[in-house]
Amino acid sequence: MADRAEYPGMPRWVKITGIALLVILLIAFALVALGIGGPHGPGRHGGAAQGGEDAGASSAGRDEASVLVQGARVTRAAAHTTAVGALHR
Amino acid sequence: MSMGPRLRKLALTVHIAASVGWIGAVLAYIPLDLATRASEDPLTLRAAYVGMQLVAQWAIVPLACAAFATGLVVSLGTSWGLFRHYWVILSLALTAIALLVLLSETRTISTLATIAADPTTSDAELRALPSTLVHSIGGLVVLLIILALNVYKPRGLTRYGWRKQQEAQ
Repeated sequence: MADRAEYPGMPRWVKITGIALLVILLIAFALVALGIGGPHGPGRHGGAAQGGEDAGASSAGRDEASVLVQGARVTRAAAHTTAVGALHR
Repeated sequence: MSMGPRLRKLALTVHIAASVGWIGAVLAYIPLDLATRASEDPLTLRAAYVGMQLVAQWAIVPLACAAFATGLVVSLGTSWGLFRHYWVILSLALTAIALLVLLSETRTISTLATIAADPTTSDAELRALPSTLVHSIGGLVVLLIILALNVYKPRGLTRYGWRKQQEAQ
């Protein structure tokens, strides 16, 4: 019992790093929750949101690029329809 | 589970090559990413997005997976262990997070490259595409932190590591 050494405990740098990581995570979550920084937040990384693999995926996690693709396609389709309509008139 | 000196050196060599290569590949990726943010030229934008996808798919992702896998081998096969030192745990956690973010980001990059490579995509649509600069620069910072942790190896045993050390004495 007398020679049994005690665990020295967690070093200070680990505690400071842990607190810093916690603060960074909280700021990141706050930015996502408040919608600051646009769709570049971590919410963009939702697995179900990518490429429409899950039909029930929420719109909050949708991938910006996919939205852009759809938007671009819709715009092009509308322009195409207008042009074709004009030709037939 | 301890490796012999030859195997240990081989695993360490592959681990260092993969890890430093990962940082180098991200450094090659960032100028392309910057171009998508800064340039208005459609040809530059198309080339940059396609280049980003190629660098990510054929350099960053394979090197990241190799760095993670060899990191596990090196730590488990040596006296450092995986859960004995705080710096190893932190390094592992940061690498795992960086890898997960990278793998999900790769799908976004592929989508962007597909749009950019599409000849029917207009110049205005090209200019409206987003960059991935926040993730690439954030990823580089995380990789440099991991590099510093692995070089400096700050002291600090976990309770498990301390118990193992006591048992060995």
